[in-house]
Amino acid sequence: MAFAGAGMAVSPSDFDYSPGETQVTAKQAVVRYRPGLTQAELESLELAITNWKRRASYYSFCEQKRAVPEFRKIVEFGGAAIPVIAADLNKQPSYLFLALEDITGEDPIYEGIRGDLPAMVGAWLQWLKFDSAQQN
Amino acid sequence: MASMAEIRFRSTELKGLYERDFPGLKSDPDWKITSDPSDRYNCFAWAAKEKHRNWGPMKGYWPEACERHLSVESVCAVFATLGYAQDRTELSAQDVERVAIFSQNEVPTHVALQLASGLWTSKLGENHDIQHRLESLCGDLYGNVRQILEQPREKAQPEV
Repeated sequence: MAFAGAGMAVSPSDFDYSPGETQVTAKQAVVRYRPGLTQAELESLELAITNWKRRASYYSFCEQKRAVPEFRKIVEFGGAAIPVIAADLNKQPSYLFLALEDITGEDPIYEGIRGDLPAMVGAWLQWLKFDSAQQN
Repeated sequence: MASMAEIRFRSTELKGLYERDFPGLKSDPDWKITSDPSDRYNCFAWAAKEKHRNWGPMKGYWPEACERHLSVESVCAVFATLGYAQDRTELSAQDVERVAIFSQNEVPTHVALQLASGLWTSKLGENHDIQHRLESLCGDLYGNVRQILEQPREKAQPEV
């Protein structure tokens, strides 16, 4: 993944999404949630995600995953974090979707898929795709 | 294909990471990694002897009869549906099966299952299953053991 130089905003083309039925594209995500992150902000967000994942991976319950301090940092990036989170989820399903829930106030996870991590992540990626399409 | 030397190196490196995050493991001669990592099941599912879904009150499977709320009481209520009770006996681990609920600030953080050997088995969240002494996981991440439940081993579900 190649990023713009320090201090420059990240453009949609900087996000390396793979095409797929349930995968959100960079354009789709960015249309709705323009990142506008500087390189330093992007690095800060990616560091927060890495550190959160490491500690949160030890917890089984979403409540504790949310209580890890880095989670608040990720959520505080707001909509600007969404394309980065979507890219991360596309690469590897994880509970990072909890940040999407806090940022958007939405919850596309329905009863039948609770407990199934890939399905829950798939529901979120579908939701992002649908929400982006609504904005076009 | 990884060589035996590489596998040994990775295993040592992994053990070092866990011992950094759970310092109690350093002095536990019985601890070992017993599975590959998996995000398909968590500690709660492992203690309930399932490996195909995560358990949890918010984003996991949770018995319908139980309140979707994370507390020591609600976790005890879920294990009660599996036959566990809070009555403690002095029976050996060969005769009774126990689950230990860890908590921090009264919020459940982890569940471990006792093996017939007397040692415990835990799924470390989305990471590996390990075998360990109960006290080895007490600390910064999981807090302390808050409650132990048990049931006769003959009535317990078989291990997966």
